[in-house]
Amino acid sequence: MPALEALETVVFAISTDDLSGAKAIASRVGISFPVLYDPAADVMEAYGVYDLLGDGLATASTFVIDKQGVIRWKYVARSISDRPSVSEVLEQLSELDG
Amino acid sequence: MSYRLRIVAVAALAGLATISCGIQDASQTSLPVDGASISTAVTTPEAPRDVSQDPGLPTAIPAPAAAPPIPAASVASAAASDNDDSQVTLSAAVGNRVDDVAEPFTLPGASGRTHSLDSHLGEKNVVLVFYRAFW
Repeated sequence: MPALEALETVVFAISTDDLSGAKAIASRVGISFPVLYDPAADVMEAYGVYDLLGDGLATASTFVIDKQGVIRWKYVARSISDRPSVSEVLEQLSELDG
Repeated sequence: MSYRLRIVAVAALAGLATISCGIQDASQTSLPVDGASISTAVTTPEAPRDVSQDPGLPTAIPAPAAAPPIPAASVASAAASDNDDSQVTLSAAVGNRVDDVAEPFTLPGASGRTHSLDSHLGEKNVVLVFYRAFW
């Protein structure tokens, strides 16, 4: 993704899927960034986005973390269909220092 | 390296080990790993609270027995400043809120590779996209 490269950014997609589910979505959607799987939900628990909607799954959410490892912006869905726009995420990235 | 820096470096490494153990064992223990509890431990290192006497917390949560965890960024800061006494700082706490130091993680990927947040620090910004599931 050229825009992300220009912004010196890597993206990780994470869900509770197992390996087969992670492979399936990477193939189906044509994702060019790493799809990680967290079936025990340890990481999403740590980020506070597990089961917020009572479905036993990761709640759709996006975290922007800068090069120093600090969370600079986050968006956590309030419903199943709630998502931030791509342009909103890119705007947040463009505002990071260096 | 000054005596003060040695103490900071040792404390920082101990904190990093504590954080790592907390994430790995989160599903097996009742020790919380959320930002609020870690933040509290970091900001009051001289006077750790007796959790068993705090009516606001469940009594099942054990009081921290070891030194409070130090954020990963502080470890990097202490290590990077090995030759510069003026740059040792203890700043943000590890947590999941904006301005917190992000929780470190290592997870397997669909490609067969393992990925970690730490491997990109200092070089890349990272966007984490949690999605519900594939179906």
